Amino acid sequence: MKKMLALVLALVFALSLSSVAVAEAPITVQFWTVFGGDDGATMQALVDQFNEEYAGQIEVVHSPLADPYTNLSLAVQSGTDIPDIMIGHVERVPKMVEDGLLVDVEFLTEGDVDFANYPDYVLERTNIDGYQYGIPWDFNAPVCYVNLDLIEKYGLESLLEDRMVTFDEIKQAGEAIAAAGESETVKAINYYGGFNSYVARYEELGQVELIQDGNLVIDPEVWGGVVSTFREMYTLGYMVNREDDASAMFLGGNLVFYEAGTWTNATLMQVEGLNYDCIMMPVFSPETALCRAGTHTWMQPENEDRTEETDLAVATFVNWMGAHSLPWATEAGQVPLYKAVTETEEFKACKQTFLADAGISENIKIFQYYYWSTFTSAVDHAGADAIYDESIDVNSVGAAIQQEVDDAIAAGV
Amino acid sequence: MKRTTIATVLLLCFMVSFSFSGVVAACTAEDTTVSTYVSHYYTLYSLSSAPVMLLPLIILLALVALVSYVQKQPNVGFLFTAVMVVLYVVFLATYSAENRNNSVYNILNAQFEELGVRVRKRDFNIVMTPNWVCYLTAGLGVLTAAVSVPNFKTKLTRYHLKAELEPYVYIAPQIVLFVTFSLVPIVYAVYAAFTQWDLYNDPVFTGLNNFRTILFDSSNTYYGQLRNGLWNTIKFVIFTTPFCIAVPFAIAMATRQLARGSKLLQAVYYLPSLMSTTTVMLSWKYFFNNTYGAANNLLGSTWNWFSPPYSWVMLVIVTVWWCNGGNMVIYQSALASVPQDQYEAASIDGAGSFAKFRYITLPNLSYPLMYTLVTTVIAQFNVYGQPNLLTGYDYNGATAVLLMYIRDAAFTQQIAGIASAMALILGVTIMCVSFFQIRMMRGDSKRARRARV
Repeated sequence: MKKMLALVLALVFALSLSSVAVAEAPITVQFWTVFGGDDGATMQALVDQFNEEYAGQIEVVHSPLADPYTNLSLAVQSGTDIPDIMIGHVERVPKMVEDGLLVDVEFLTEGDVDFANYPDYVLERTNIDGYQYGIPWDFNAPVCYVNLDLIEKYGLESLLEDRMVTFDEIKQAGEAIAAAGESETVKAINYYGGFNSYVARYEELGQVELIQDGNLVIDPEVWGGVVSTFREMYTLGYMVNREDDASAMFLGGNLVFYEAGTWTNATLMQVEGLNYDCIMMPVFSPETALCRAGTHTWMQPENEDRTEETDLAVATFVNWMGAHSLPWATEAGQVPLYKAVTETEEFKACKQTFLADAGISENIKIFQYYYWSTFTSAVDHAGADAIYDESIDVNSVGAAIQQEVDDAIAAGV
Repeated sequence: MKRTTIATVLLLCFMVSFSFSGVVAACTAEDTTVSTYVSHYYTLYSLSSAPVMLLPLIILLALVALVSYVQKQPNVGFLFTAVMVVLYVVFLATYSAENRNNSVYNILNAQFEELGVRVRKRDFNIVMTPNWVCYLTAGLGVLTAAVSVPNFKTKLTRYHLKAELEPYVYIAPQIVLFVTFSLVPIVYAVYAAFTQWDLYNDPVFTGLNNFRTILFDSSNTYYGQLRNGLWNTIKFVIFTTPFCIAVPFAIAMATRQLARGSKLLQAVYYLPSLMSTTTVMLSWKYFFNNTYGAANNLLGSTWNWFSPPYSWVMLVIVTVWWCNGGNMVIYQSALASVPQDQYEAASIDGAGSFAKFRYITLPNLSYPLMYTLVTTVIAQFNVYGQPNLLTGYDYNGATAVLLMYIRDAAFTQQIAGIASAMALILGVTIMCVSFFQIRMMRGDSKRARRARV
């Protein structure tokens, strides 16, 4: 009898505890991003700050993933561990929508999200068939970092007057270095590599669009023209050698113009004594200047089991992150796009935020192509051999990339 | 004729008949648009439905039953056959031809309705495997079980059944894991090689298209990737395997002769094998970095260690350094088991070190050496991490191996059909090489046995 009574009391006690636990549990939001390293640390700090402010109500679990797209496809297909919100690349959105991986974010406007807080020309990029599938988080773009001490040393101040530098001006810098007898150790420019080095310059040089009616159309001679420009820089001795490390050279004060991403700024900001500035990637001419930019965008994966409460919590989180995204510029060296943040003086004081200036937006192009990842993979496979090896026909590079993309599409990518 | 022989024959007939049952055979339509949709959803239904997941299990049970009958274990064979027949009946009950036909029509009709097109059932012709084939298959399975029914009344039968089943109980966990994580993915990967599949939507059967593309279409990118990747993989195997055998063998021989510190040295040489691929490759990459790597700074050089042909030298050195631990342990154990009296007798007869090595050590270690040769070759054919992290696709893919292209095609480009076709070719290559190696191994063993006799 006593044992039975003890057992009943223990059960009642356990049940009452569980009900208390359920009542106090915050809404959990699974959040995936593509940000690792220093960017990931900054993102985690923001998430931690949000969790502290909304303790007991909403708990965001942040998972930085090198390749969230493969993970996402597995999660959606298996129906388990699907994130509630993620930040990914805008180029991926069309195909993800086509593959049924994303839902539109219109519902989030019933919470705290307001599309008026974001620039229209970026929002348009993720509006598909009248439905909004993305909310802009930031700009990311290849830029050019300039060593101001070397600019002064070689008397190249005139090159930076319009915050833009042309390839002819890069050659001037190379000639100045050669005249000083230091071209063995100091270089004018590096080769960044990948699609960032080509897409904007292709369109600028050829005055032709790379993506026409949704199809990749590469003119091998135009692409070859861009490759030739790099080859000329290398042949003249103005470009970093293939085996050398450009970032180490820039950090060591041996590289004048350093092509890299806006995300590299987070590392450069921490280097003591490095006197540098950030401008657009070198162009062929100021009149035709074009810079490729991408955006990281908020997107919501498809999940039938997601509740309305979770969606509202997601909306609260997304809006809060936008409104508090200034550290994303000041600490991570990125370019957040929440309007209220871009209008602050602290934002405008950052080196890389010139990309968000209204005056420069006409020189920026966000490329979108359904088979973007296939295209970038083909560019990686094509490699940089044609730049360093004069026996390779420069016009063969663009043709090889076009062939690979066409073959992939035919194979059912 | 013994009942196990009869059961074996009946079971083989079952398996042949089974291969024709349950799968939609063909589909035609007059109108091209209808045909395209039909072929897509045809495959969708035939291979993505839940009942179809029973098929690998039925195949496995049939194979185990076959082995049991061949091993003269009719009682065990009966049990597996009975379970197999039950599963097959369940499969048929949920997957009858009429149900399939109606379901495919309904799916297609719904799609065409969305397009505003009304399609009549007679507009397309779905050819299903006739029901009588399925019934024949089930009948063969029942007959097989009937032929080998044990007499459960006798104690001896129950005793034998328990004894025969016991080994299967011990290996069941491994079998379940193997079926779940190896066999089913392998079967699906083989199927995927004959499809067009982007990993998100259901695969579309395309027959031999993928193989025609990568084997015979010289203008195609993937033709070039297969050739370059496979040739680089073979080169990697040829360059690394001899050193992955000789170096650990030499270390095992050398450390064995040390009076002191042999265990410590063996542990030190084994340590790299415990490290992850990324740790090892990045460490070596940074150590030999052109600009700030320790190697070039110590040597006062600007040598590019990762440009051809030196990139191959680096790959071999890193691979051998990283992988020698496993083989070294095997050789150490084998060396310890060589009878010492043979060495003593050889010494008495005046044999030198080389003669002892050649006529005593090597013959005694022939089996471990052949075993490690086979496993090392298989492991090196599966190379991915070293070239991917150290050299990538640089220098026109000079060190790009096939698994890099397979991974790119499957997960970056999402052309899983082409990727699976390449993987199948790699798998067949490995199987052929291993087959010849094992034949050599058996040939050597026979010759050694004959010599001893």
